[in-house]
Amino acid sequence: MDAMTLKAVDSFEQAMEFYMPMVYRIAFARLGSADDAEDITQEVFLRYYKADMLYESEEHRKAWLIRCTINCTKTLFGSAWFRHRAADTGLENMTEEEQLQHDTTAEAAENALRRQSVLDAVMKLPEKYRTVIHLFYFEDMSVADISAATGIKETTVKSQLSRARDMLKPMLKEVDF
Amino acid sequence: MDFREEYKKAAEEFSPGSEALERMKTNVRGRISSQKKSLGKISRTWGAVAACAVITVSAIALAPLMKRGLPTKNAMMQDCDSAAACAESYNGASGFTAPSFAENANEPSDNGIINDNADMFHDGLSGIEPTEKECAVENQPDDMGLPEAPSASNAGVGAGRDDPATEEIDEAADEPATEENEIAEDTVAGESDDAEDPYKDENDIPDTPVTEESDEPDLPVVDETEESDCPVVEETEEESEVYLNYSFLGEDFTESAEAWISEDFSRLTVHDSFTGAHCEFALYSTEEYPPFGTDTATMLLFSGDDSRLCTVLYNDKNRIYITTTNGRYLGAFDRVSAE
Repeated sequence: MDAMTLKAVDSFEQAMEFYMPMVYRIAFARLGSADDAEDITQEVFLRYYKADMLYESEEHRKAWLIRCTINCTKTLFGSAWFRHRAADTGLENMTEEEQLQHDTTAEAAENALRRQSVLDAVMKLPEKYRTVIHLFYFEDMSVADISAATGIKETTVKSQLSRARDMLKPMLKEVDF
Repeated sequence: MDFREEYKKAAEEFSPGSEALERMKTNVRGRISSQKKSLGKISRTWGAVAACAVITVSAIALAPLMKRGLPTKNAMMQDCDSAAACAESYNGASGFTAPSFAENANEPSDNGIINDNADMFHDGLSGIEPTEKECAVENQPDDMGLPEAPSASNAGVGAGRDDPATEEIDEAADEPATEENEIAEDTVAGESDDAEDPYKDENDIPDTPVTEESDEPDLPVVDETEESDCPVVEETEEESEVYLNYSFLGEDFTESAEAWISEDFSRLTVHDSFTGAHCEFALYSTEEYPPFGTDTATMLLFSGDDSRLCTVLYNDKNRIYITTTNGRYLGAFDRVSAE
């Protein structure tokens, strides 16, 4: 990543380039929907532009974006956009079955199935657990970093991680945590 | 099998592709430019209205004085360069004789000449006597009575609180079962996050966000410095922009058109402030999809305070189909009226 200025608007394009996938994944982990994740991602960067803050560090910027993403997903649950949606859009992206068809070899298909089972298990967790699981295991954030970014106490983050693992273990018996 | 490794692989699969990333970036840029245009129109319109109001109030305030043919208070005081001149000016007008004024004027007295004149007014210049308030103002030091200019730091605080992201505090409070409430169950008694959480939104994360300039507005600045003329609302800058024109159902719209959808998503209003075109639509179906080959247009669609950049797919059968630009289909709408 090129060095970004810590002024939001000045580094807007770079920030979108670098952080948009992260914001999208967090939104997806919380919502489980690609469409909603896209909406949230756009909203987050719109707020990022409007706020036009001067960040103290890159970690500060990242934490701001994570916090904003979490807030936006909370807002979405109560919005008209979330309540009024066509049941079947007909314009969806590739389905899971279609995705699996692309994995032609048996090994690839097995891997895909295993990853899908991991993802399904995580998506069955309550929303708050999905967030800490994603930040801890995918973004490789420490408990302290998660606490700082989400505003949840470290002890609570730890307990949420612990409970999430306890809930995942029966669903993923072959997996080491 | 390691969970971290497996989850990373799984999560990477739901990462957005380059096409989705480009689409999102384009939408964000589009929404920013749309809001800039809206803000520009609002600021220009209200700037013109404010300028008209100031001129009107000023005219109302000056009209009585001009009608009576009297000089303004400042002009009167300028004319009265000396007490003698004052006495000469007003002797005939009121029959008032003030022999002492001339004496006072020659005295190196501690009393200022303004005070003497004020006394003169109170002593009997009926009809042109200034009000008590005016006298009081004249006797005050220059800096009194003026509102203190807001300090830069205060302005900065205000600007920070206007951050739209802070709305989340209220929204979170309205949620029936907030995450924080549930988290509280996870913590031991007395460690409620709600009670101690020092930052409830993204602006309160531990490294306190630093606004660069205290007097800098939160939103992108629209240059308003040249908007003093009244009542010009339509701006040449707007006219010089190139709009993509399109039309559906017999109305001409531009890319600056905006649409509003009702809370229950049953009614849709499309309005273009640039061309003046206006259309009302009612939801026909969320099951009927657009036929192949329909034309498309893009507009900003508002639902309450929220907005999405939407694609309008339309044909010539009094029906349009709305989809968000990320592909969520909202339904088919029929035209019900037009102005």
